Amino acid sequence: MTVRQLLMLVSIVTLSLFPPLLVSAAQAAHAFDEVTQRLTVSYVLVLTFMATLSGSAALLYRLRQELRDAGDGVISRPWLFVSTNMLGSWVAAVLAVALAQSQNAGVWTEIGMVISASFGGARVIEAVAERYFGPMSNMGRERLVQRGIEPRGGTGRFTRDEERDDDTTPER
Amino acid sequence: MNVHRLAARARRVSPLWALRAYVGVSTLVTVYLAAMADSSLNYRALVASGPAGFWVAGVFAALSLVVIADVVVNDLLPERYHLRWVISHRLWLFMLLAVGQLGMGLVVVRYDDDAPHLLARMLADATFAAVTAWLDVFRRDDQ
Repeated sequence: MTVRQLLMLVSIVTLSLFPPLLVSAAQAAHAFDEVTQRLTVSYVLVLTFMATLSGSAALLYRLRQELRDAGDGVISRPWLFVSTNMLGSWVAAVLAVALAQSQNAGVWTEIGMVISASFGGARVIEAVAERYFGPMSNMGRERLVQRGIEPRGGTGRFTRDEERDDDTTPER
Repeated sequence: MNVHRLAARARRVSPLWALRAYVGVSTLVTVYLAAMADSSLNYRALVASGPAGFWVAGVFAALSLVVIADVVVNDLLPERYHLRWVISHRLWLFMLLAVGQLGMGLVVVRYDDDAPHLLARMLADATFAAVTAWLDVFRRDDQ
């Protein structure tokens, strides 16, 4: 798969997230006054924290699998791994809140929707990223470099040195 | 009482047991205040949230008891007593307790937005629970 095809796939995945977001946002905007009265600063703060924790639960679950299966527990692209999980979690949480507010859902229903959507969103985006970029330990530029493809615009900053392949986590 | 034997056991147990115990007990106290103490703001908020609130409170009380049993059996009792299933599912237990604390905070905020002091305590407890889950995974007790 070429870099152009990869970018096209990422664009398609990103754009496919927008229609449901727009529909939910439009529904929420329809009852804008009522929604803004309910969404106080404290309320939004707690919802954000809740979405972050649900996303971090999905992240931690995957990290535990990696630590268990990878032997030395090295994760080559933690920044990409974390960003895909948390981005999926937050996008899904925004959708869930918009949907719950537009439907005047009860507080426990809204909590359930936010938790499950954040967790599911993180897992889905992670799965999509792995589907198109390969396993987490071989993601992104590194995978291209390993396959002999030079990433466009690359500085070499993210390519792994041969000697770093022998890295292991220190004994605790 | 053999002090040296106690000291040896204290060195052997996970240093996270006190943190896990705090998270379990704190969540249990929060649930108790919300479900039983009818003069508390938590109780009034839980009643206002509908009957589902009491079911959720019951589930979180049960989860808190599992966490406390985990500490007592797996950390404090002799090694021949163990709850292996709980050890391998601590991640979910603590993350559920964390979002449960936040859920209670959300219910309180929705009922009365002028309760930042209660919210601060619940945010702190949720953070403690999540940090405990992270530390426990990286400690790799179950591997």
